[in-house]
Amino acid sequence: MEDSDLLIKLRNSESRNYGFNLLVRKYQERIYWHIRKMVIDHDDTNDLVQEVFIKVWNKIDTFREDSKLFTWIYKIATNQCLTFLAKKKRRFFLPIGDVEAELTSSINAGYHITGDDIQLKLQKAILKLPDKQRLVFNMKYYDEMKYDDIAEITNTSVGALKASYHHAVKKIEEYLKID
Amino acid sequence: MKTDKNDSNRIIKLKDVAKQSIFTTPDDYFDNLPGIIQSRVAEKTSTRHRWQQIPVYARLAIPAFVMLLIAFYLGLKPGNSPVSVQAMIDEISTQEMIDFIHDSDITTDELLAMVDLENLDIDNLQEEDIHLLNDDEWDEILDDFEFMNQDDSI
Repeated sequence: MEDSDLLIKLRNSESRNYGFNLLVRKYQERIYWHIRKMVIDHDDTNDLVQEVFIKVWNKIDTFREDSKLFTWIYKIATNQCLTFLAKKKRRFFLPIGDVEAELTSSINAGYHITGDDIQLKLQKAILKLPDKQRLVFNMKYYDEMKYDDIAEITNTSVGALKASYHHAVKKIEEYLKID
Repeated sequence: MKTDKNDSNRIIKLKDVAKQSIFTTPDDYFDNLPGIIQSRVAEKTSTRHRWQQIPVYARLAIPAFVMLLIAFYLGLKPGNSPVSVQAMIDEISTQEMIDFIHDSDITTDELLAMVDLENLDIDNLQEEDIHLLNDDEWDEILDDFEFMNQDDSI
């Protein structure tokens, strides 16, 4: 179903629940994987995905159709991820390295994780990036999103995004060097 | 997976790594997720309606009363200076107080019994009191007010 039709259903009190159900079914996987690549753990992702869609439900009347619906939802999800990771860092009271270590240990624990050595190494390399750079990398590399859409989600210029992605790739390739 | 044969450090190019996800989900996760989210949304909606059953003037008075309770409790703790108590209170948002009331066993009647409504001057409510409610909440309160004023015979 087109987003325009979804919005009509969502803005009608009689069809709002049905429209919302359709919206969740349409976007749940993309939002889930976007969050999962950032927070790694399935249970944390599950909590955040639910919070994202509850926020969508609460704020749908404030959605201005000057951006795409999916971009708007993606933005909410992105903010949820960054807030979650920032809270994690505050709990540790220590620099990013310890949160990175925790996320890496989630990969090592193997809970709902699969893949060969190079794939696991790639994920650990990605975890070494700063959160926002990691976000940009994931959206470009895995989701193959256009820079214009990423710019809208992150409130960053296309030029800055291209530079960020380029550096991210270099850092990752450095990490992937076979010893 | 290709490596750069000319580079003695055997650099792996990202473009030569297969693009695949290492993450999996529990069985039927995406089949069940919409229902779980829908239930939580329905639960939040009914919780909001219970809050709206408390009259407007009481909803505005209750957070102030709760703040007094907290200030009294904090003031009794040894070592707490008046400045630190005020700072602690300032950090508590109205929503947190509302959530606290929801989570406690206190009933609406008990809350209203604690508030001195006789001396509450509704006509002269200060701006900051009115701002305890946002626009959406005001709209819903006004809708409820119109509903309550309808003829019961309808």
